[in-house]
Amino acid sequence: MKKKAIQSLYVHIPFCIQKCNYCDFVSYPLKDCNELCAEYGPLLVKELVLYDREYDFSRLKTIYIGGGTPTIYPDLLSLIYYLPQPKSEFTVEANPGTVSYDQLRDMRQMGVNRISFGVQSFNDARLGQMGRLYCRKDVKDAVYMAKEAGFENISIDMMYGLPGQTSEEWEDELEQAIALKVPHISAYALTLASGTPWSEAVRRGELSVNDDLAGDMLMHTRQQLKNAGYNQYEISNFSFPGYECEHNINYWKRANYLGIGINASSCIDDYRFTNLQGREYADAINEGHKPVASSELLTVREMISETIFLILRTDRGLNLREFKAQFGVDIMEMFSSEIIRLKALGLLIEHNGYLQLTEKALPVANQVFCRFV
Amino acid sequence: MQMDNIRNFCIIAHIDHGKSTLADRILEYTGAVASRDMEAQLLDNMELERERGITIKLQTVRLKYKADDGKEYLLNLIDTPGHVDFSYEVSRSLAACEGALLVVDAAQGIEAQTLANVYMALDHDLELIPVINKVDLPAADPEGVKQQIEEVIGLDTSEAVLASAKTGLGTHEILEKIVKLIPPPSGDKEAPLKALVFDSYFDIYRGTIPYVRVIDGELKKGAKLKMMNTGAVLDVTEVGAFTPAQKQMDKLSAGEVGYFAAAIKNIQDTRVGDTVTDFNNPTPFPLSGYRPAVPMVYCGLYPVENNDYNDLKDALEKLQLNDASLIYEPEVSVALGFGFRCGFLGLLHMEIIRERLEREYGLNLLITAPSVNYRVTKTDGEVVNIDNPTKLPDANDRLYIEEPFVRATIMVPKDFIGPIMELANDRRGVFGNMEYITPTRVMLTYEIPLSEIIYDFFDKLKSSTKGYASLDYELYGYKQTDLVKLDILVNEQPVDALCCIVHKDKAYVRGRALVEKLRSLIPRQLFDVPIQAALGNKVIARETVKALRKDVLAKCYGGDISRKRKLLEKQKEGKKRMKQVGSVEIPQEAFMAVLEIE
Repeated sequence: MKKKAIQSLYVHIPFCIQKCNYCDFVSYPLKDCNELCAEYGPLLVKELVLYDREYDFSRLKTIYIGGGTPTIYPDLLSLIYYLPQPKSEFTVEANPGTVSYDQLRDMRQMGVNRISFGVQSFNDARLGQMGRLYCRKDVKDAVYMAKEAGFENISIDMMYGLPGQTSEEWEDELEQAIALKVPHISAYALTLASGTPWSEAVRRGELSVNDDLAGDMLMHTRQQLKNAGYNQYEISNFSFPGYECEHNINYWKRANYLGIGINASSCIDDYRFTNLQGREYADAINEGHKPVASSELLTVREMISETIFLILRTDRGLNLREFKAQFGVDIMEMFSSEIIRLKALGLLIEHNGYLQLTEKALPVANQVFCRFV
Repeated sequence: MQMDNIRNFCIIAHIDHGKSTLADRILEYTGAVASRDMEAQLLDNMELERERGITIKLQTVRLKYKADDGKEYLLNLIDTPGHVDFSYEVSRSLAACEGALLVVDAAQGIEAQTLANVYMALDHDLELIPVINKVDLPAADPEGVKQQIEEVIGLDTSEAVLASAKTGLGTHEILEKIVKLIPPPSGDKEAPLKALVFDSYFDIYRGTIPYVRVIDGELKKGAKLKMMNTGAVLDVTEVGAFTPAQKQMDKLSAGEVGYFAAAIKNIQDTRVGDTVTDFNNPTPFPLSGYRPAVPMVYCGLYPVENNDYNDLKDALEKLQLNDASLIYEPEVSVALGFGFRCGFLGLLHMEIIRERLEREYGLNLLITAPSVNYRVTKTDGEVVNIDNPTKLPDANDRLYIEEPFVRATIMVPKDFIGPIMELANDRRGVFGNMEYITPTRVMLTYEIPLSEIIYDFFDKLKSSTKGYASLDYELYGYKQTDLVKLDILVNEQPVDALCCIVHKDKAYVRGRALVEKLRSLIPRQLFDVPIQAALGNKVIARETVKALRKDVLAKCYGGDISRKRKLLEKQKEGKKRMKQVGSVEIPQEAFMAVLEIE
């Protein structure tokens, strides 16, 4: 049997010093899981070996090590050493409060060529409220060190729509982000995930968020970053030309990706699966099993839905010819009435063989997406 | 069976006073049904009926009972619907009997609806046997209830039976009283056939099956019959009775109750109340009391998905086979497309039909606010009936509007007179009479527009009296009132399915409440949607559904995609339940909003 080619590899590092108040990712306080942490690197390598017979990693284009907080994981460097080398992009997520120059330099030397800082805010009071353990000065130092260590491709994550945040406050945050002159900025609207301290506080009425304002902020972000030379190449992602995150673009193109580590997700053609958590993950691998918690086999119709709503998130949009070649149907015929209607509403346009969201559709993109599922 | 040994009876009771349970006990006692075969309350056999605990469709059963006098009797128990919507059907069932058990809850006493049925039974000269039920309850006051019956109805209670249908107490005594007190039928077996249709049901193999009570003559298999009111001519293929299972017989004779089959395809041919006679040897006069179905409440029924129109049509056709009081005709709404204007006996009937359409036929339906039938006299003298507010002639073209009024009877403990009067006044009720039926209970009568009753009057009545009030009403005529048409505009466009006819004095308050309600029900769209209430060209209330400003998930990476797809699928399902009116998506509930406003 021919091995399936994997384009992207995601590695999840589920350790943090402490969990942030809005976060619902799977992560554990490092101090509570010394045993798992010590064992984790070998587990990841063993997991990769489990897939070796099925998948071909020789044409791997991107690797993304995310978390959690990869930069507090003590064996990060040896992990990087054991991973295959991607052809083009190797990203590590970094916490501005926990990186050192030496660590950045070592990673760079071992082939990591993109660093993504979870900055979120430049406002010390905000950072404290979010539960993040660094201050504004640390952010500036971290970016400076990364540049010194040889990273050119640096990204920073920012968050808006925070409780009580005003438009002026967000404009100021963006000004400071722009001032760092990094080639990539992700700006995410706060999503209140249930079970997080913030969602609880909102439920109790102690905090309040304004969704309308967050929609306006999205449009404002687009404008302010555009003025600074950034292109919005995806709903939440902005970059200088040529610095788009290839790994993430692969998700939106529905390319094959494998995720390893606790709670990581994978998608190979029509097969999606997500890994186990905690000890169960470790036990499965130690017993030689794939650590899969849940999986689903998609129908063609579901793959079509995903293809459409994922790629429409990007500025290039959906290539009509490629879609037809892949699925054997013309999207303009399959969804003719939906597309006519969305065009009439000014939410969708057809441009040079691509179907794209209009600017107006960006903050309300789900209204478009749900027509195609 | 000798006519002398036949007893035809029914049970009159207020909802919850234990009618169905008592029927079950009687069936068990006479051995018609073994107790282990009893599904709780056998006579209520539609799923909906059992869920709501009310009897909608009539059932009838033929029982054999060997009485203490050593003789065997044939008892026909004819069940009656227990809701005010179905009072004509009740009257026809009563007409098939010589007697009735009057079941009264020993703790709660007489209720308005019971009283209405008692009067109807007395009109039919039925022998009434009072049964004081639930005497085993701690709060039971059998003596007090007896006294009530004597004072309110003027009925001698010396023969009253104290019973508990739950435990079976009193069942034997009830059966003995039936035999002893209820007169046998008095008909002439030799006379030409004369039989009363008091119910029917539809069987997919045999067509409509009418339930009949033979008054005179004999109904035989193979006979050619004529329905005297509808004019239908029928060939009888089968005659039988319910035991409660159907049992074929050669004939039904004067005094007997049963069914016949005649390959009847159209239920309209066998309207309840009609008289069946022999085609070749007809009886000279039909039985009195026949009345064609008169709907009290009308509403529009529309498929949410336009292509379900034919399915809805088929479903209505099928339901009508079993329910002659359902009427419908196609109508077109600018907002909702193709649908049907349906007439119902009352709101409960409407709810039942809607639920059956959705449940049994899997239809996703839109239902417009119920309306009554208005009578409009136009300036050219023409009088038109308007059952759809959209069709109300222009103010310039009409001389006046009349609306149906009911005479409502409300029974309530005296402490609640205040709230009742307040409610009735608010609903444009005109006070008629107040009578103390016991030192603590009063009976109030009001004349109230039917349109004010059909919405939430009963619920309000219950909630303002801690559930103690009971209501009965009957239509008594039309009265001229000052009515106007209230238009609702969504996104500057009048939505025909949302307009309503209201009293002029209430137009402003209703209009305001309605647009506020609609604002809360209509989800935010991609643009501002103004919602206005207008009288003619004059806007009297306005609200705006503000444009949606954010509806997108910020993050969508490897682990989020499945969840994201499912969220979008859910969102799409939500949209499916909405109706596209112009460029605005309006949810189903919005069309019923007028019902929910204070």
